[in-house]
Amino acid sequence: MTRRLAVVLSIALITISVFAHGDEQHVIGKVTKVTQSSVTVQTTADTSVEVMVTSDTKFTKGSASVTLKDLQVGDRVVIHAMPMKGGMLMAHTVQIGDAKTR
Amino acid sequence: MKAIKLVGVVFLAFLISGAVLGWFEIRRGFSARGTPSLVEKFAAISARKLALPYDYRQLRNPFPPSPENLQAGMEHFSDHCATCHSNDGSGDTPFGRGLYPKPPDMRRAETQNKSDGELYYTIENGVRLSGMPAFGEEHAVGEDADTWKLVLFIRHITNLNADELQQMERLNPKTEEERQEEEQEERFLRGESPQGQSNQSHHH
Repeated sequence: MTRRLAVVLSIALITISVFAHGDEQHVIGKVTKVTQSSVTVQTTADTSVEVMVTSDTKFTKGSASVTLKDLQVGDRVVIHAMPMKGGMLMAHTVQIGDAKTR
Repeated sequence: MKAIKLVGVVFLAFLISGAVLGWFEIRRGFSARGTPSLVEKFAAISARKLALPYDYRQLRNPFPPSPENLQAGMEHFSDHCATCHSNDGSGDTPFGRGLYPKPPDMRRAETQNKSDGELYYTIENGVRLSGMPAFGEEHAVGEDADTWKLVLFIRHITNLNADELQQMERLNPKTEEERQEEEQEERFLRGESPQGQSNQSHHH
């Protein structure tokens, strides 16, 4: 009885779902610096952008999964990232170009 | 008599707690960015269990996990489900992150421990007070082959490899603008010069 009451009362407090969109950004350019926690990219519009990386960031090179260690200065990259509080970007995916095309 | 008094006191306590909680919630405002509280989670899970017909709970997937069936499930999932649930089932997508409650991480026991029938029923009938729509038609119980193949794929989602994920990305729904941008990004990665592309584009 008590459990059912709790369920009914709690349901009354549940909010109706709200649909919201994200704000993903794509950073395209060449890597100028790599650290354990970030990648700096000189974009094709000649601006420098630093993107944070975490253990959840997925790195790929062609169809292969790679790691941050495989990323080198001069590599072409396409980074899909989300803006965080404070304006920093957090990378979800980092696609690395073929080394021969640097 | 004592029992009635006790029930009355418990009921009153719940009412007062609900009112106090409600007052704080209203003052704070509602946002889809938050995470459901333990009370909400408990209520939602309990309500879902109550909503699941017994007949469905007992259903077993009539389709074997053959490569063809898994491929069909993967194609369907990539096109219809991944926008919110993401290709790997984590729910980590712009839509998924913005929903309240957020889509469950399908790789975890919370989803994987559900029976075939529970998964089938959820896909066919949706989940009230969430972003999960009812995708099924008014079929007789357990007759939608496409939904059963999705159930097979959800079982397989814990073992996805890089090739499958890449295949799914190609199958995800995209706008013409996104297709063009993806093509330009691939060209850039292959070493071609960028042509009129934005170096830092936004996606809503």
